Amino acid sequence: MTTFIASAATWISANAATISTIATVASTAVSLISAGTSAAAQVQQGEARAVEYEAKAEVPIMQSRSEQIAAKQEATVHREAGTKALKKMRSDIAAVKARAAYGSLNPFTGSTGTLVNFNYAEGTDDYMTQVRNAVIASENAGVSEGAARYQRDLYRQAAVNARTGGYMGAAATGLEQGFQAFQAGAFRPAAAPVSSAGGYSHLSTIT
Amino acid sequence: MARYPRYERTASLTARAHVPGMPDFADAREQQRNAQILGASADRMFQFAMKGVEKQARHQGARDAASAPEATLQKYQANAPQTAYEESAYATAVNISATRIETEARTEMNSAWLEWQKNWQQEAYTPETLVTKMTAIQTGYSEALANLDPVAAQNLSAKLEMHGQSLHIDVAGTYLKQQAKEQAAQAVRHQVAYQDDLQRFARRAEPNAEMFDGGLSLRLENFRAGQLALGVDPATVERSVAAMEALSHEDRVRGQFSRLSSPEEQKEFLKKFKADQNDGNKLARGLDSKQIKMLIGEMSGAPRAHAAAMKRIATRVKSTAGDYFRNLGKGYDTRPGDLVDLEKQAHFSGDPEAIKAVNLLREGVNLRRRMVAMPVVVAEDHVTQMRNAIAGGASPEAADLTELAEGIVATAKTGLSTDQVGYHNTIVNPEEPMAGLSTENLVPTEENFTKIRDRVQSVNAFSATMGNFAPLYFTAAEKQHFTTFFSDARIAPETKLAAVMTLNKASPGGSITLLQQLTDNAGPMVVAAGLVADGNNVAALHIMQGVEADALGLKPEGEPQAPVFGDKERAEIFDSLLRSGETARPFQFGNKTIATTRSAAKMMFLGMYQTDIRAKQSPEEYYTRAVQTTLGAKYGREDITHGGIHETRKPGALYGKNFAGHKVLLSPQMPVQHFRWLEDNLNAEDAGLTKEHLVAHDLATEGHQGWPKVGNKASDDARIEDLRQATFAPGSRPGWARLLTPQGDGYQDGYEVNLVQLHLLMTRKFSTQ
Repeated sequence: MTTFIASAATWISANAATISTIATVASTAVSLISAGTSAAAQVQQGEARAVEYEAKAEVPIMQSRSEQIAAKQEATVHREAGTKALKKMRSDIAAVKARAAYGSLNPFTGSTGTLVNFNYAEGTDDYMTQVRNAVIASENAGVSEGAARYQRDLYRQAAVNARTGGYMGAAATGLEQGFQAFQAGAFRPAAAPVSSAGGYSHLSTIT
Repeated sequence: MARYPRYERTASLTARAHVPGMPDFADAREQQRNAQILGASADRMFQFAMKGVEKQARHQGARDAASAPEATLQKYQANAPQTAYEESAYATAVNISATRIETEARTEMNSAWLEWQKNWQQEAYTPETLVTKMTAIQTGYSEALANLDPVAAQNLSAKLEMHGQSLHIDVAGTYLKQQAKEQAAQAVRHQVAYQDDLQRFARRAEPNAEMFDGGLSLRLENFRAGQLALGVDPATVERSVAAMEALSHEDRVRGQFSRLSSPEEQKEFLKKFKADQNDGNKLARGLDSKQIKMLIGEMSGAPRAHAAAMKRIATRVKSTAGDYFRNLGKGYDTRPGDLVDLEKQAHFSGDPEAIKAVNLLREGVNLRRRMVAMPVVVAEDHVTQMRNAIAGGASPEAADLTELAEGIVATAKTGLSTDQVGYHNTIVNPEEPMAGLSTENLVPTEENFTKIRDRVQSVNAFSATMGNFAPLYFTAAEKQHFTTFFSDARIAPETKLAAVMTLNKASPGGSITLLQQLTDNAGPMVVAAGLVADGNNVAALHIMQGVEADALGLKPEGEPQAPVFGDKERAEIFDSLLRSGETARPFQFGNKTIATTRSAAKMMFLGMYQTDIRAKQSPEEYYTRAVQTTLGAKYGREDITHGGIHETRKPGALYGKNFAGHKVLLSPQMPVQHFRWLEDNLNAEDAGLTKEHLVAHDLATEGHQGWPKVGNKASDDARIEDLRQATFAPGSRPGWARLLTPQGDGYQDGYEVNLVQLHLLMTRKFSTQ
């Protein structure tokens, strides 16, 4: 055992320079691997977030489609209500004219005419109100679609940013850790170790 | 009326505008998140980098402060440090200062400790004084640091206190040990003192046995009590008492024996002592057989030992007195103390020969002291008288004294002809020697001028006192130093010129003599001294530069202006200037003077050629100028203005009928135009007058003050000599000339002399006859 320890000590003494170099290289490698692992994790994290954002980007589109359908349905209802108003207006005007004619009155003058005009005006307003409702409902569909697309683009851009952030974070981590490793002396050449025997070999001649 | 239908409005604007929900700005959120990540990362890197920068700043601050801690402290003492660099620098400087202060304090404490260890036996060095000193050091150094950093000062104070305490513990131990040693030493000193006292008591004790024994017993009892009081072991004390008692009886016997003056008494005493050796109750009491035997041996051999000792003393006295007497002949005095000692020893020995030798020495000393102060001639007369006195037979002592006187005279002659300063300093007046000179005294300062002047005046006075010996101004060693100085080619010519100027200023007119003695009459240097005396320093410098060039092997040959101009060419010019062509020895110059002039002219030529070359002048012109300048000529812009060799237009009129030459050498002070004027104004008849005319001619009858007298130099030769330095100018009327002298010794500025007499003087002065 003693012989083994002595031999090991001798070998270590003889190869001190190599061992020192290896130790320096190993320390540098460990620091580099550590920095690389951290960077890779950040890249993956950024990629995952990007995928999430890309998935999210389709959700508002789908929601918007539902809203568009609903808006179109509402517009149809308003258009139908407008048609009904026109029909009723015509009916009322026709009734006035018919009753006036029945009473030998000029339906286009006097109070009859005024009433006809009134009915016409009111019916038209109703119709136009319904038309406006339909237009708003239609516009709402467009708005919904635009908002959905806008949101989708935002998510897509977020995905890009997340992915970019991952890489940037990795680069920053690498740079930061590399800088720290450099500051710690990881990339400097190993100092030549002091030989335990070379400088004093002449002492062996002294008895 | 029939009822008309009236349209009822039913519709209303029920449709509501769809307001989309707030969008989820996920991109912005992600962007924000990214920015946060980047920002956080950058922030961490910044923080990390800042730590590194701070670390570097602190490191740099520490390093800068380490290189200049005092400057750093001064910088931040008034303005508190702000940055990491400054904080680190200040902290490091304080730390270094603290360490230094601590080191100094420890060193001083250790020094105080060592000093105490060395001197603690002295009364002033008590442990308390050391503690006080340590505390003062601790307080002083801590306060010094407190101005910089109170915390560090407290730490330092604590460290120094610990150090001081450890030193004090050591001191206390030493002190206690030494106290014990001191007590033991006191016991020893006590014993030694008693031994001495007992020895004196025993040696002077009277034969009264009862009194002696009583006194001895009393002293031994006191000794015993004292030893016991000092803590000495009682058994040891008793052994000491027994030994001292036995020794006291030995001393008693020796004392009684030594007081006996005659050998007979001593024999009688020895007989009684032997008789009592068996009983041991009289003279031999208190002594054992071994002591008795030893004392008998001592007393038996005492007369012989005394006689032998006296003989040795007498022999030594005679030998020493003889040596001193012989040294008197070499001029060296005997110290009074030595003479008194010899006299005492001679009388102690009682040897008549020794006493006679010492008496002779005393007479010799007195003779030497009288003779060294005499002029040599007087001393020689004294020797003659002494020799005459012993001619008819005299005592050996008288003959010895005569021989001594002859030796003293011979030493004086040798000293005065070789080394007057050394002779004065070692023989004549060693109590007041002349101050030594060195080459450092050649530097032109007032102090050196005074020193050299004092030397010259002292030697002049001394040599005159000793009988008009030619003054020798330097010792052999000084001469060697100065000769080396003037011949050393490594010393710049300018330095040598300054030295010559120093000598000239210190001894106006005498520098030539000084240089002659200093340089073994080396020609060029002496000529240079003469030129300096004439005020032509540049010419002197040229000579010295030429000497240097010659020593360095620089030759004029090979120069552009002098492809071939050697000794032969120079000799032709030299001879044509100095030789009249009709006389073999022009200007009354001897061979040595001619050689000196030739050598100096060559050196001046070399010096001028090296340093003052003028393209327009040929080597011949240069050499001619050198010869003229060597002989004292002074040049103006082109031609000679004063002195030098000139062709005379009226040789017969000016220089006497016997003058066969046609050239004249003027005094360096004489303007050439004055010389020409004199030539024009003298006539041939004047030249017929002789020296006798001059002596008989009384100028007082001409309405003048008479021919000026210089000191007591009344003879015409002396006057001629005085006129060597004179300058002649045209007089106020025909037949007279103004006479100017630089020294002014006897002549007044503007004094006019008769040209007839002047002519006669100049005949002596300048003619070849």
